[in-house]
Amino acid sequence: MPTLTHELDCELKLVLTQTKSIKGIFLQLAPIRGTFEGQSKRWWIIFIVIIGGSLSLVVSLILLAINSNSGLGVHVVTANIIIGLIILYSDIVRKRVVKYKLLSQRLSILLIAGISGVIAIITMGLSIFFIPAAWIEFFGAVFFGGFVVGIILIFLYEGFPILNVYKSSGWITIAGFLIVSAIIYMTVVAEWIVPYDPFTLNVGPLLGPPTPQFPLGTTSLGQDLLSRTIAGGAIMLQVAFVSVIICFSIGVPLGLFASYRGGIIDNTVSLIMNAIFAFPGLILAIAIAAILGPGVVNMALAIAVVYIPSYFRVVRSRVITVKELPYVEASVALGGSEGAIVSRYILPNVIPSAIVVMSINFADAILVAAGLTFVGLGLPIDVPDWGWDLTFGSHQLITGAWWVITFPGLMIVILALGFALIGEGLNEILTPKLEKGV
Amino acid sequence: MTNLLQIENLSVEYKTRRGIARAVDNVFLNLEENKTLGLAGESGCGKSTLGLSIMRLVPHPGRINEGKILFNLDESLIFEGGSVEKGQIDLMQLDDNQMRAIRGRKLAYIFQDPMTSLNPLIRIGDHFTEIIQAHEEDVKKDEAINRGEEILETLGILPERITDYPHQFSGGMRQRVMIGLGIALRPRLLIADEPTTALDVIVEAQILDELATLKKQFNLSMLLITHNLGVLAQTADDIAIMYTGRVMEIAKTESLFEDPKHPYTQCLLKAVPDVRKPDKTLAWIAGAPPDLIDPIPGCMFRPRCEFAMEICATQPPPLEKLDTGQRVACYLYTKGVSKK
Amino acid sequence: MSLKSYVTSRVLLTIPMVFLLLTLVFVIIRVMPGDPALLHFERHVSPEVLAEFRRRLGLDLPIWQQYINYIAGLFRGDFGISMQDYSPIIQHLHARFPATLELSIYSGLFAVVFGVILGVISARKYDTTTDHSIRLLAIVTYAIPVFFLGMIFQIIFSVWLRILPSGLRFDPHYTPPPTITGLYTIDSLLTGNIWAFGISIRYLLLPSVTLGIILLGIFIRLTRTNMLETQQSDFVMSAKARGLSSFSITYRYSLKNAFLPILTMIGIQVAILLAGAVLTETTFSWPGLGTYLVDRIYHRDYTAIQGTVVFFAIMVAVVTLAVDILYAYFDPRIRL
Repeated sequence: MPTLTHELDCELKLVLTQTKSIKGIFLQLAPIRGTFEGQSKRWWIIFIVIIGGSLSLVVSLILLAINSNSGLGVHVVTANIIIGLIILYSDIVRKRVVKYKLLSQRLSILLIAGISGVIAIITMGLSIFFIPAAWIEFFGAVFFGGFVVGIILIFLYEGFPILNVYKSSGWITIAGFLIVSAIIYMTVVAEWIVPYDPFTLNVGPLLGPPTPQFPLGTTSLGQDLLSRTIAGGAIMLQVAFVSVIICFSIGVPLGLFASYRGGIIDNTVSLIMNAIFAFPGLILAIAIAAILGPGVVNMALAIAVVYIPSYFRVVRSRVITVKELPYVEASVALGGSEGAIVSRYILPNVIPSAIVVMSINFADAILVAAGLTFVGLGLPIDVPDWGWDLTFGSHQLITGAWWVITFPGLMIVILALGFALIGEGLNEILTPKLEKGV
Repeated sequence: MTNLLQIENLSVEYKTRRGIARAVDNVFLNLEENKTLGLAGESGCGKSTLGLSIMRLVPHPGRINEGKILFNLDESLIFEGGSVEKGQIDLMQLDDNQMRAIRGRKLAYIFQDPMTSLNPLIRIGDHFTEIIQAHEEDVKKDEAINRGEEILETLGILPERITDYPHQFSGGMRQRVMIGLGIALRPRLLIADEPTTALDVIVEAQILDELATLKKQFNLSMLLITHNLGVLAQTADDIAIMYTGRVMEIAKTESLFEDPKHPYTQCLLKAVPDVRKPDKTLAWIAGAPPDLIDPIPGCMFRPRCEFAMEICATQPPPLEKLDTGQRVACYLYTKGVSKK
Repeated sequence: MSLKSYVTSRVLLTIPMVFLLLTLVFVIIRVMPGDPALLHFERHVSPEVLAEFRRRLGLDLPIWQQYINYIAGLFRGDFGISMQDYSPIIQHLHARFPATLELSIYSGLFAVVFGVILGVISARKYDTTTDHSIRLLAIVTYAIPVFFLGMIFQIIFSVWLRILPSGLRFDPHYTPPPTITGLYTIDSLLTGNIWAFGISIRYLLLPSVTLGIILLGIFIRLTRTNMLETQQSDFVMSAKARGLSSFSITYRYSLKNAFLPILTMIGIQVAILLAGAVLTETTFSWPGLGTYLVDRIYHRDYTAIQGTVVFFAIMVAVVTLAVDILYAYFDPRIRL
């Protein structure tokens, strides 16, 4: 019945265009352009209180921990800062050296970041999979931590021109980025700065309130909460990164392929994606995680299935718009190869939107991961994890032990907030709407 | 004749990401009663902003910086929570409530795009009741609908269609509805901002014709904003030419077309095609208007003007009245300025 | 397009969607690696017990037959039987659905009412401190896990101030109102029992406000963005030019036109609402579908998990369809 399918198709398009104009759940974070323009100073005060508060909380946690440990931690952090400064210095020097244009600006920045990244990943990888020796982990923490510090410094240094161009959206992005990288840094060097082993039981009193010895108090098992708060981000970050990588590498190509081809493939895939999209994400993730069982990868898989449709939908709506732009049609008419058209015209138009979805996806993944842990589907054992501590803490609420839930909970909020801010800022920078003329 | 509208020294600025743009710059204008003043210029020259600033509806982030907008009010308006005395009033001095009472009642505005200017969710009849009841609170709904039907009939729309929604009308009919809403309360001044640009040529002619009839019928004065000089040639009594937010020349329609004074007006007229002279080569003006955010000192047309002199780079030329009656802002006509 | 054909096509679109969702759930629970029967028994059991267990649940049949039984069962309103005591799942769902419905209605109302009000204020006070504070609230509520917020409320209001109960749906010392609709607040009003009404409101307050706040941000942003967009639209400009009052412009123009996209989003929000309800119910021991689901997870009762998830899927599909039809009713461009 061609007429029926045609009508359905039209309907589908109607639905999609409707949702496109009002955006999916993810892009609701998008303010309309000009929201922040010409704003009053008072707004910044509120903003800085929240961002500055979050950042200083993270930084003071790190400092607190170094102070109460004051062993290897000081060396690690010092080494990190030195490496960070070296990276920053080489970045500044590079700008002066790159006069003969052998290396383009971006390439060389990638090169420096890449080299430090590779060293860090290799050492980290070695430490995890092959040689469980402390010194490898030490070098991993030093290099990877230094790499993160370097990125923070470069971002701050290079960020100022960006701030000038993008004003408030630049500020928001950088603020979010700083929050996220501060937490990543904290997690990377956690092992070297925690005052106590986050696993060890009975290092202090059971459910003790914050004291100078245990600045954030202790859990019901007598573990030091400060140590657990500092080390507790690792699982969430891993889950978030793995799930986002899976989502991105399935959702984007699928969206590109299906919507570029169009026809029956597109309709079928869209229908499936819309079905998943309509489903309550957490409940779907619960169902998947219940079958897969606990664990980082399983959790990431469960989350990934839920969020693939958001990439698909965004990519699809972009491709459908871009495909009909005159320059793409002209290129098709001139007989450009399909691969070339997709990679040269369509992909560059799709990636910015996908990146915006990605940063929101990070925030969502963290919240869903926390939710999965909360319903008991997260992790197999009592690993240091904010979600776990929050779940455990909920059983001790009646005794009035506020600290057990407050600190891990705040960290989740801060991390999710950081990613949400990146998403919000990037959304304005990467997917600008047309400015209204005078 | 008395001046219905008198604009003095009006400036409007837009705060943008890149800086401040002066969209209307020290404009002086007069509109006599029962006349049509045409306001012409390229896109972006500030003519729409000028129209909106008379309504005091310059959109965010624009702001009226300084100036007077004197309007001759023929009767005192009394409304809930305030009143406006009759006589010559400065619209800039009115508060929001007073201004609201004047909008729609004494000043009407017709927007460029009829497709988007009606609320898609309410019926045409409700549009009429809204505007009538907003200004005459004691009017019943039925009465307002009846008046709406009458107005639609004068505009050649079947009165039954008052219960229809905007999307059931064509573009030309929607513009008629807009005009109908504009004249529903017999305003003194009708500002039409490119009322026919979005329409096709046949409908354009009909609408212009209707505007002219209505003008006679209701004793309207009109400010017609357009970039189409041909439209003004048919309808306007006087024409003001705007460029980069400044008025370059004001003249009677005939004298403007026959003897344009300002070099910019001359260039504009050379660029208008003429069916009677098919051999005429159309001229174009080299260059582009200067950036409003980073304005050049002196006359804004100087970089594109073939008569540019040294003095043109010093200060913007003032609008001066010539012996022939035109008013021109150009040093070519200023006495005592030595020509090259 | 007539309303009738719109509704027909919407229903036609919903059917394959529901079908897909049901299949998806089936694939996840039954087809994906991991044998639910084995997973259910944490310790080793004798093969005889396992075989009997499979036979009773119909897990010994070929997968396609299980699928047909599953779909056919759903048509009859049969959501399968529990792995734990072989009781029909629909019985549990039926008992617990009103609690979830009540929580969802009140928190949804809270979110919509306050979200729209705050959104309108934010848009009207555009670019002032009020506006920025409301915007910031919207971003922050997005980043708070619902159970964390719930726990903070529990600590403040139940542990420290001791003015509100920290969980459950009704005071265990009293008998809840007789079941008419299953919603305690409505049932107690219907039977004229003000005392019971007061108790149920007291118990409802914290969970619904918690869940409401989480959803609040989305509605604030949505209302604000759409209000600002319509405020810049031509028809609002021309309404201003006609001298309409700012009240009339805000409510008859901006809000009315912003309402349609908000309505569409309510359909999508139901999914988020239900997901949030699962966590909120767990936090507040609210005896609804969410606690049932989590309880079944602890017992590794996979057929019950499947039944509950399917029930959620059908609920979402029905609400989405209802919202779509409502949308058509409100938008004259589709209605006529």
